[in-house]
Amino acid sequence: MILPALLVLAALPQGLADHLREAAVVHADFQQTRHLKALSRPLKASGTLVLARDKGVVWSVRKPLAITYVIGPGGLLVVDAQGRREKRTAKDLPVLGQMGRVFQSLVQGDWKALEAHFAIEGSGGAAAWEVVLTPKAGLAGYLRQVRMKGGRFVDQVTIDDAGGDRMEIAFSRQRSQDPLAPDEAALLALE
Amino acid sequence: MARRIWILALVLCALFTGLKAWRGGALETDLLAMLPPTERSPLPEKAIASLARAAGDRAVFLVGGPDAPGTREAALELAAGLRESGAFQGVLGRLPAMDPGAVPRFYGERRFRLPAPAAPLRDALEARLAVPMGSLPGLDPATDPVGHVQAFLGGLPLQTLRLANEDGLLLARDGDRVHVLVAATLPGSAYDPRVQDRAAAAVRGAEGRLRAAHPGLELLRTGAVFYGEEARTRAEGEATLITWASLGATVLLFVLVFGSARHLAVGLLCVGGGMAVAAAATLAAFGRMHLMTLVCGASMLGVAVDYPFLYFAHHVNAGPGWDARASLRALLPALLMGAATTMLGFATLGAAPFPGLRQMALFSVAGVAGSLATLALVAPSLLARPVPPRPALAGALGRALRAWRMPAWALGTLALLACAALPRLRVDDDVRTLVQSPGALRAQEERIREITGVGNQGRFLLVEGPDAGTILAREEALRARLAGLPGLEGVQAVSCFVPSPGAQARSLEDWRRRRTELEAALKEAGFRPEVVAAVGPGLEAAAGRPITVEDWMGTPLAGAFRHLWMPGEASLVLPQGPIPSARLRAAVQDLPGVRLVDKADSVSALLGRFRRLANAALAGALVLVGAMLAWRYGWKRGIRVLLPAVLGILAALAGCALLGLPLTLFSTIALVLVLGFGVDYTVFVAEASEPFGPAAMGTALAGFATLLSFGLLAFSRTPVLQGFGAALGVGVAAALLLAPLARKESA
Repeated sequence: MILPALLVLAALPQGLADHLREAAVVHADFQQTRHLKALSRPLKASGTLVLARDKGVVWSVRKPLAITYVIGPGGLLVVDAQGRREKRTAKDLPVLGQMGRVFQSLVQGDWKALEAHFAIEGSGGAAAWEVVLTPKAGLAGYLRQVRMKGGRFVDQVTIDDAGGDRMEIAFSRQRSQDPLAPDEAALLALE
Repeated sequence: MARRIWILALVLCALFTGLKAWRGGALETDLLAMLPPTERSPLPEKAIASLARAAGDRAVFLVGGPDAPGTREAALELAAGLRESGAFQGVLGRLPAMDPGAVPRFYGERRFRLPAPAAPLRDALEARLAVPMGSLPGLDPATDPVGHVQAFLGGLPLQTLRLANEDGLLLARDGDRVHVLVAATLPGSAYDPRVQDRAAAAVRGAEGRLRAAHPGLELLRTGAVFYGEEARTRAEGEATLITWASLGATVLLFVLVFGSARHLAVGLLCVGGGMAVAAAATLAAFGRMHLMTLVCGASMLGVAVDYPFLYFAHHVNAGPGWDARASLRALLPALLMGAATTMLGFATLGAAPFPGLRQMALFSVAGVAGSLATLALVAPSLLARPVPPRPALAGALGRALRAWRMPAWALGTLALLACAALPRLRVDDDVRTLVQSPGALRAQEERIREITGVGNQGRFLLVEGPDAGTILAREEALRARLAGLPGLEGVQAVSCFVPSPGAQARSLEDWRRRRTELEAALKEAGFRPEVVAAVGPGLEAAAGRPITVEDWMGTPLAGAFRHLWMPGEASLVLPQGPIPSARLRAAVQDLPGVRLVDKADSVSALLGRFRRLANAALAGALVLVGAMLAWRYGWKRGIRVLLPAVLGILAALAGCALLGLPLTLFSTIALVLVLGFGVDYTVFVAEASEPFGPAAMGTALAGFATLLSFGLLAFSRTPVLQGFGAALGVGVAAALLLAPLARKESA
């Protein structure tokens, strides 16, 4: 259930794996649109994200409500609008560690790890590219297809899940020059 | 005539034993099988057995190495190797493909029977839809709009196992290393020697190939079958060694003292006769013989040989005037008296309702009787002719015995030492030190526990109730009580998966009350009208669709937890984490239908109870034997005949204290044996016609033989046997040295 989110985040570096070798931190804004079969209109959410190499991801939803998800190799931390924290470590939920590792290998541009789970098809050049991921046996129960578009950074990700729902995430204001803020660093340490 | 019938009986006994041994399964290696049931009612015993089956008939392997394909391949090769060996009924390497939607669908269909979120449904719904997470198969937003089914699934006690399913392999991670789990089921009991031998051979083969093909991988294994196999081969090895050493020592004594093959043959015949009768009687009464009985039985050689020694000592000292039958008649009072007191001592042991003790008691009584009968019925005709006296050795021994006086100062020093040592005597009934498992295996099990999080399986909370609903409700009350106890990491219980009917009804009632709230929230979020319209019928359908244990048993989740449920009777709740049993017991003591069952604790308590019982038996035996001796020898002399045995018992206690060995049930048994031996010696001496003649010689020889066989037990690596051997060795030595106290006129 967390995997699609991680794939979205993990997909980012496909375009920026090279930059990441120098720039360890990427900040971006996102706009998420969900098309659910059960809903008559699409569902929108937006917020910001921080991607820190070796440390994890801070995914902060700002609208329609404030909720922050921190996903690192050590586990998962959720902070809600009231500041309440819920921590799940990889030790008591091994699947989290598994996700964290998939994520980690992707951040470092390790497409081999991704190939274990997906058939990968790519087209275009470095300035504008498109990649389609089709899940292999194990994940097919959860996902139908993942499409990514981008140039220097990933610009758009579309996820079709097995139930027929679709999630589109558009990224903007991607930048790799800002350092990690102290509060972001604290969150990534799951504190 | 009587002789022929007896020989025929012995042959039949030997044939019966041989047949039993040949058909296999005659030897019991599970130490716990010696013990009576620990609980007063049969239910906890049944629960323990069901849990033991779930854990015991399985062997678990972990192949550890770097996170690389090689480690996974190695695990699959190990699984294939074990499968090919045919020693296991099933080997699980790769998990069968599972429908990932089966469990979410099961609960999704019954969602209105699961607790609603505490927060306003509108907020819960928004939070659920805003997260960048997909849905579990079968749990789309229309089925689980507010995320309460996902929350329920997240709370299932699956996380307590640190194993994750990765590509069909069960994997645990430990830093940057992975451990792949391979599980194998045994084709029979983990305590069946044939199952053990085949499993051990298969594992050795598969491990060897694995180490050759993938050097540097860590390989761990655990399972009752390995403990059983190791304990059995060790005990068998020790029993064999002790038997041969004791036999060798006895033969050596025979050769040195009697110097004739005939005496040796007759002596062995008496011992063999005793063993044949003992084994046949035990097998006939119990069906199978316990390993402990056999090991202690091997030491029975030492008792059985006492009677021939006495008789032969008279033979070699008689000279040309030897009359085999008359001599036997003359010795019979001593022989019968010695045997009767020994058997009395053993028989008091059997008075306790303790299968293991009864077996040992029967074995010993039958062995003593068989040996004595063989001597009385068979020996005289085989030793009819006189032998030339062997004055050199017999004379030397006689002189040594005549000169032997326990010096007063030595006696005093020993007494002081004993008094100083006795307060240091410890009592230890803990079954865990008793059934001490081999260190290497224990370390592997500890490591597996650390890596996988699979915990102590011998301890659980038993929840009873008249019906499934009551049991589930009591489990819920129990879980609420346990929540937050320090040291408790989690709880596995059926009620985690199947809420009690009461809880389900409360959830349903809650959802009914919040129906308009849910419909409004769905409408506001933009759910299609048909989703909103389905809430009402869904609630109605939920009323007739309870979550039942039977339905849950059909889901793929139930497999790993099936053993927690004993249909129509009770359920097991497994606490996990290093929480002391006392804390658990205190927390649950006032809950109806709940009790803590800790097999190790119960067995320890039981061992303690029987140790006290055996102490009482020892005291009773002392009184009975003392009365018997007083009846035969009068009060004053009776006490002198009994005294060496009593002092031997005190010496054994002091010896254990000095050696730092705790007093266990089994050392108490040794004390009963010391009484039997000690009285044997003094009776031989007391019945002797001349103070320093053949009787003294026979006694000394018998004592040496006993010391040799039991002294060896003290070097056993099995703690039980070690304590047993040490107590016996020290006790017998002391009783032997003090035996001259019983001389007719020792002035």
